Amino acid sequence: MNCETYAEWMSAQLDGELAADHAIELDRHLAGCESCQKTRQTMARLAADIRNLPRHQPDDSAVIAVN
Amino acid sequence: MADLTDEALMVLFQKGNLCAFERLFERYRIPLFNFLFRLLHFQRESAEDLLQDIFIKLAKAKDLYDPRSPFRPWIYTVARNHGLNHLRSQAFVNAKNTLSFDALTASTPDRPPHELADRDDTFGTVASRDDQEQLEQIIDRLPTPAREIFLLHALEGLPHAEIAQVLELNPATVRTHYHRARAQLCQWLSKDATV
Repeated sequence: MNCETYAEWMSAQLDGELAADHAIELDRHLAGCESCQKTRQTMARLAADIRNLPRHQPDDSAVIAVN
Repeated sequence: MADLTDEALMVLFQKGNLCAFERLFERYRIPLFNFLFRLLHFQRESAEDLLQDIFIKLAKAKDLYDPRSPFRPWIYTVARNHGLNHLRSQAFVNAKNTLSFDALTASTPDRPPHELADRDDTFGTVASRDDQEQLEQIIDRLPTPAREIFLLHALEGLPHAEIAQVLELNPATVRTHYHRARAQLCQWLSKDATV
């Protein structure tokens, strides 16, 4: 198992989709892997960062042309 | 009319109610534009043109929609197909240009050269603008179909089952791609943070 796979498991865990045995294995790996600990922190922040991304607005002329 | 479902609005529109069409347009104008804008690597004008095309075609071909099938995956499928066709036609033009100017360039650019110039300029606060732009660019680096899946789920809020309909994939496959995309983004972001 490599860190890429563990990162995918972290994502699944955030969404409540990780199997219990995988969760145990993930916790064991996280205890000894600094890189994955950092990835997990980033993942926890990512949802908020995504929410803060701007909603881009189309030009108003596009609205007029369709209407 | 505000509390009617998309499908009910489409039925009304099929019966000639233009207010129902306007309501659908208002409901989907910004979500579809955001999806197209990002799908097209931040080409604002192209995304606006495609947004218009989609609704003009919807108006003309309203009777082709089957109201028994959910509207949202249907309209996102139309948007995605338009977006991908546009990217393909651009790739074709770029390939032709590369052949014409083979002596001047060593490799075909992945993106149109005007991409950065066309980037949107409506990011949020000045303090967070750089971070937001960096995040947008990192999402843009995701491969297909992970990028589409990430855009549709994380940014547009479509559930995996609807994305599966849009992309004609198994929902489990969509879920796998999504987790892989999120993992990849976090690894890239972690690495960038250490630079």
